[in-house]
Amino acid sequence: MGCFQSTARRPRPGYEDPVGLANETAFSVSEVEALFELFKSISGSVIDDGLINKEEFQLALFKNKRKENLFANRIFDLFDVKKRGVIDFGDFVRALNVFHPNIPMEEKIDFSFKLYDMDSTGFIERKEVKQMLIALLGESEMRLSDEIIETILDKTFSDADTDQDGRIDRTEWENFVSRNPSLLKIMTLPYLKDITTTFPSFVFNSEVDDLVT
Amino acid sequence: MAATKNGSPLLGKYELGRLLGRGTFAKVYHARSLAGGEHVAVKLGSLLAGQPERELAFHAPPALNAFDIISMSPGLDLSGLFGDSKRRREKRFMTTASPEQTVERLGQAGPKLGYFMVGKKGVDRLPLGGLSGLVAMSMEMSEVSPSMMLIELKLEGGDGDEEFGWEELRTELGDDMVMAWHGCDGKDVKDQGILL
Repeated sequence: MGCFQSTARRPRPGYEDPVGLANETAFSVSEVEALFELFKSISGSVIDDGLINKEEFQLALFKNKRKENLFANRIFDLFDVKKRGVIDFGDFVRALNVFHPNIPMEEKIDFSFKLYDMDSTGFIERKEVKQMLIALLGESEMRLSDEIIETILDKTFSDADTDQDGRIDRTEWENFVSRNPSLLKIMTLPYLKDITTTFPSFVFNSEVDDLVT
Repeated sequence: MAATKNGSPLLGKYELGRLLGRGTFAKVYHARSLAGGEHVAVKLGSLLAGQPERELAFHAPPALNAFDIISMSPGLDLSGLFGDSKRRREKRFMTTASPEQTVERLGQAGPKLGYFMVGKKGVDRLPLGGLSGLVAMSMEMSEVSPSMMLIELKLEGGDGDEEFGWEELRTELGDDMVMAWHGCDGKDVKDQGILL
């Protein structure tokens, strides 16, 4: 895969060659550059080190750097592929790529499966779903009785867990979301198609001409 | 179930029942689907002058599964990274009220707050600017449990720059109807969780 990094000449911390990233992703070079504008503003918001840490991520998402959220943590963990507790520009672009409208469903299904498989066992277990459900209800200050929660879980698992082993595997997940496509709504960000209009300052910083958009 | 006024089924599909409520532009009736016998609410509106009455019917709310509910977390909504315009145009709340009551109250609040209710598919038939300054609002109902529904409200069309009075709407709907108001920003401190 053609992403090379020039270590001799690194113009900015966290910067990665936009042409390489554009080749790997659904983004054009100008879109990658626009994403860099976004990345700079997020990564510099608490510590200006060219990397997005958890606080900065929370700040960008919730406008509140102290807001801990189970789901945002999962997203962060999936963006942080190198498991360093920080997201660099390459991680940022490659992860956002999955949310691009033009990216095939397969990748979105993959990402969402890993998202919900919180302990990364390769299965989405009932107890994990219960934990996430309770977390969500906590966020909305809603309380449902344990009985109702169990009923919702029963229905979900009878729908999704076709071999009835108490957990949802990758194939069952794929079939389940095919029947319930709204579950993948969160995996597409239409904004990504308009990124160059949202962050127009890239026009003045552009170093490379678009050969192919 | 009362028969329709002239005895024949509405649009060939529904047997009309009692009037549930009326807004400025439409009336909502309780009805029964002749095909499946389901109880539905049917909204008949003369949305544009001269246009024939059109049905905006919706069926008993589909049941949510656990992942539908989980997907609602703002932590999974990365649009926030891009400046967050979506959340101002959508709100959700849970209610133990019936579909009919909810529809009725939403319809009544419309003229006061400057919106009118539309079905999701009716939107593209409306003029882009709405009707004399009113905004179109769509609603989706889903079942959380047999006695509790989730209502999702979304502003359709418009230019998104006007701040809609969500808090006023919440007040209009009343605390007896709104069990939990999910404003997507977690700021709603009213701890009125309901234990079923």
